[in-house]
Amino acid sequence: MNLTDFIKDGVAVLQPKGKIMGGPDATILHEKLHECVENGNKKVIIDLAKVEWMNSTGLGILISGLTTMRNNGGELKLANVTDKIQSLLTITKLVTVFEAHDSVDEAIASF
Amino acid sequence: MEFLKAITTPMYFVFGGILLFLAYTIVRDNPSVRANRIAGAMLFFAGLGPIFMALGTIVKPNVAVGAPFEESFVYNLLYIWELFFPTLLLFSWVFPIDRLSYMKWRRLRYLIFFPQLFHLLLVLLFRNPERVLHLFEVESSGGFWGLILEPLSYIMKWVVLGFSLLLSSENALFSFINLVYVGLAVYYLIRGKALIENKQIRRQTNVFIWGLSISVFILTMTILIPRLLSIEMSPTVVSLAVMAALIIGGGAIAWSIIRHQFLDVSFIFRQSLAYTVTSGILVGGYVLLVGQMDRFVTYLFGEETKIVNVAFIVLALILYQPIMNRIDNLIKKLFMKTRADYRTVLGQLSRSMISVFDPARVRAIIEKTLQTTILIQRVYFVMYDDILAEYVLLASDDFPNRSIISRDDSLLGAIGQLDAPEPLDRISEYARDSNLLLQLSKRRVQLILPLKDSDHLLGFLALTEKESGYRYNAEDITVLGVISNQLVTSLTNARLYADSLEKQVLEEEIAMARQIQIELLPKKPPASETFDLKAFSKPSRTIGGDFYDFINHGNGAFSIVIADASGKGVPAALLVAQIQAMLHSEVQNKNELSRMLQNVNEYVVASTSAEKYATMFYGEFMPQTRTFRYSNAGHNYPILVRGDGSHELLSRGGMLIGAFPGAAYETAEITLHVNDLLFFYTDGLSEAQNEADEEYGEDRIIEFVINHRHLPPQKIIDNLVKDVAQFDSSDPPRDDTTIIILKVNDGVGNGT
Repeated sequence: MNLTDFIKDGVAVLQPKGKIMGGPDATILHEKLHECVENGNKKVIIDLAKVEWMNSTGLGILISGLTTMRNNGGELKLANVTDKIQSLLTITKLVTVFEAHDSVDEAIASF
Repeated sequence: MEFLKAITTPMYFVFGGILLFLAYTIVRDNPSVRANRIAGAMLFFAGLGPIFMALGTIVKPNVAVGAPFEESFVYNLLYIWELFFPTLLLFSWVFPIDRLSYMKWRRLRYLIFFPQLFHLLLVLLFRNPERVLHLFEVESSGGFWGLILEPLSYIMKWVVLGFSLLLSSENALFSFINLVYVGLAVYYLIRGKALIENKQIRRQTNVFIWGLSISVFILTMTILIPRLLSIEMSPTVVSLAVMAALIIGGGAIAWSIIRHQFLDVSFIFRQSLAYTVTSGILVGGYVLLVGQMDRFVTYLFGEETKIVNVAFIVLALILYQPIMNRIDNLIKKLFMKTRADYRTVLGQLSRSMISVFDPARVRAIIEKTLQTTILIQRVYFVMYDDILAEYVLLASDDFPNRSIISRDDSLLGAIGQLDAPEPLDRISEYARDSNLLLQLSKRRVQLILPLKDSDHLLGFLALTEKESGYRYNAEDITVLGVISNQLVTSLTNARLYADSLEKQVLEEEIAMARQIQIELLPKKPPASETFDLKAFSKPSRTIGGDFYDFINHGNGAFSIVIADASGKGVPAALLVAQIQAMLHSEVQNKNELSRMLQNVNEYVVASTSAEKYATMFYGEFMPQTRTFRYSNAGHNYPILVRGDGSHELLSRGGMLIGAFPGAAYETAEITLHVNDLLFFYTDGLSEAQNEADEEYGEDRIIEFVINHRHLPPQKIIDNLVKDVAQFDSSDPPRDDTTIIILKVNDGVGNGT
């Protein structure tokens, strides 16, 4: 997984690319989210457009990311959720906690 | 007395020779460095002392005719050696760190030579004032010239007489001046020492200062002070004192300079030193012995013969090589087997690094080696970080933050092209807008040492200037090149070792996880005439978090649990064990189904971190009524296939277990009929992939189960597993696969 990030309209947008799996991916995403919190960016969007695949650990990373943000008074939203990940979120009933949007702009507007 | 001379004369020769030779070698090593030039001059003058002394003892007896040798011009030249004292003072300003450039009155530094030059002049010209006075004798010719010259010669006579008077106390006065010089030199050396942090150089400077101080003390007590106080000392004592002073002082100076300047005392240097010493011993022996022996033989045979001379030369020729070898070995022992010698260093380095597999230790060893041998002030490391996939400038004592280097940094690119150590200023010409260059300049880096494994840049070492401020010479560069190769090998080994260690740990962990998993699974599913329950589970290589369980309620009813914990290996297995234990106690407490899952969820949320969770399907089957109550906590939907081929998915329930607190769980109840079957599975089945990266998928599973619904559960499982194995040939499978089938029979053997 590669992670690029930028700030748009005061919202931190993280764009992982490739497969979100365990190990270093978790560390990288985790550090990035903590960095956002430390820098006072409490609105974060994870853009999943370029994510090919996500295993159970990858899903765990998203869950802990959301928890991290919420514990720090922030919010984490998803954008460009692919069909595969959407069905994963549906089965696991995570759709009820993750706010997912069709585009980054839409997600930004929702804050 | 003769015996003492026999020993001291060759010794003077040897020590003088060594000092002269050292002077020559030091200047030759690098004439462009001021410290080398000054050290050379100092040792040259220091060497002249003993040489003149030796010459004095040899030549004197032969100067029988005319004036005594002590009063000859040549003998008085001996006083040149006093220039040792001002050069020593100069040396104390450049050693161990050249501080001369910062001194206020540095342009006047040569004035310190004045007293000794004056002394030399005084001795040469006025020791025999009559001769000089004679020059000023002017015949009373009268006239114009006489008028000018006569008063002049009169004045000059007085001047000469004045000098002669000065000469009478000359020894005491200049001894005192020289003593002051030595005191100042020791003072400056101690101050210079305070400026350096490197322990190695401090130790060397200490040796130097102590050696110098002791020898000066000896000379002061036996020569200078007696001269000052006009006390006669026994010549034996004086000779011994001079010898001791030469051995201690000269030895200390030679020792520290060799170790400081010539970290590599090269082969030629060693050989030459051995030649010098051997020749000194033999020449000294010849000069002293042959004369005496000749006289003895003449006395014995009453006739003059040259036999001793010839015999000695033959003996010398025979002994020369063995003596030289002995001395060579001695020098090797004294100078070469030090920690500072490059060959020793490299040998030790490769020995100490061969068994070290921790990259941090390897770096520490290298840093220490460079600091103690090449006397580099600081070493910074830039290494490729596998996890970050970036080059990182590692933290150091003075810069505690590590910094990541951008991949397209122009300086990094230039360093990637290097094959050998290169001064930073030469590479930086090609680097524009480089943040790395900025960082390195901040650390005052001078030399870059690339670490390359074939063409791949593992990282590089950034070295600051040498402790002494001297530039890196060709020898340093060569050795640094060898050290960097050694480092590359060690780091590569360390990485291979870490990989294999990681693999081993992983394998042990997998074995443990597999053990836990096997013990958690029910040995046998409940069995009855009225239903057929079969389970299948195949772990993946890394052991995922799949698990299933059947919990007996005691009244014929039982629970079916299928779950998939996040993660792999032991952590996943432990999470499974936790959930399983929790479920068993919840069943025993006869809690209501939705309440049960809520409790499990809260418990797991509270006891694990957020990324640890499990998807779980929990259902309770009552064979008597054929009712099935369930709640699905985020698990793949089990499939209900009716006898008529219709199907529905059991999705009702709530959030996966263990991620968020406060989750609520809905329950649902279905009634089953004969020939209906329930199919439970984990994502290892649906996510099996073929070569085109297509997944087996839920739809294929549903279709397969519907088409095979008339078969007994075991057969369905066998066929399905076979079908999936054809689809996804990876073995062992990518993820754990678990399948459970519950099929309802009519209880009288009419089911399938």
